[in-house]
Amino acid sequence: MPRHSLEKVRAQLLRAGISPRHVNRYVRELRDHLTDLIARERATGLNEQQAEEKARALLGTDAQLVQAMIDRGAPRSLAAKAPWAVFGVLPLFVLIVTALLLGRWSYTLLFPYQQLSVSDIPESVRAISMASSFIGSFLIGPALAAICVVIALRQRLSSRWVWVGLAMIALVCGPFGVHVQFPTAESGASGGIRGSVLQAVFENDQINAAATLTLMAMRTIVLFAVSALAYRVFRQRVEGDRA
Amino acid sequence: MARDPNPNFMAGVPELMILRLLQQREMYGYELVQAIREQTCDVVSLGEGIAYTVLHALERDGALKSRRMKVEGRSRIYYSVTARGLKRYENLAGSWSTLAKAIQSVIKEDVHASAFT
Repeated sequence: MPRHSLEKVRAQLLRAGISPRHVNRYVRELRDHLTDLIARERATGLNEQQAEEKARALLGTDAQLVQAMIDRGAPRSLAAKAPWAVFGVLPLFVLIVTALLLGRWSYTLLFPYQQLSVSDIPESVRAISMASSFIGSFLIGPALAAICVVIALRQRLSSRWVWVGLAMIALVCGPFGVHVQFPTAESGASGGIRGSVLQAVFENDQINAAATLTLMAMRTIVLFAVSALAYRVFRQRVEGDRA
Repeated sequence: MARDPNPNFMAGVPELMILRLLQQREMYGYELVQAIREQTCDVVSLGEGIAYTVLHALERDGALKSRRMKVEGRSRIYYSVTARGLKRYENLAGSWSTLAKAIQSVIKEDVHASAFT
């Protein structure tokens, strides 16, 4: 493997907004070419280091390789062309669609049992309903934030839209959560299944407004803090690797 | 002093050479760059890494197509010319022939003029 790994070329192209797919292919071909050049130079009697230096000079400087790719109009990624769409509109759209699908699915699943008492609702239905609640309440937000962070790091993006996206995901996902409240067994009443797409806290079958607002605020803060910290730490690591 | 592999008047030459050579057989990048060197006796030498930007641009325009092949344990991307590439080659070759003839006639006139002075 050549000592010159061409990682600087890769990083500069990604920061210039070139699509990662094209950058990866370009760098892979350059690396293969470099390997062939080194083998050729070694065959002429040069030692490993001399062969690598000559091969790298023949390939072109980092600046030439980067500029040539940009000048030839290599395709730019969507995240570079329209960061507002990738980090602003897309997470919101995914969240709305997920909320609608989970809400609809939960309604369809629970509707036949609406008039039954709690003891008549099968365990499997309760388990599926809980799984749906868990996905909606605890997985969607972190998953969307993680996807945003991965896209931003993969593209070496430092756009303010990444921060806007993370803040927006936290603001929307903090209060959001598929919540199903089954009637307590003691009450024995029928028709007590309640559902909401908000993180509601129930107390004696009533929503506790103060506890609900506190929970929403805490979820928002924790989600933003964790995702922002992860983005910052990994970005520093990526920048460190580049240097 | 090192020779500039891409002086201004060479614009369009890499495309022309690539489209011509790939009509003979499909090749991968390194093979193609060496073929250009050999066939032009090193008169035309592409910046070796820069050749890939030309190949990718031609592929985006539909003049070339590529496929990955494993040869001797190494995965290579082989390029070949498409019908659109052939048409593009004919246009480029025609333009270059006309240009070369025009320049040649100017150079000949210049040589004749200096002979009579």
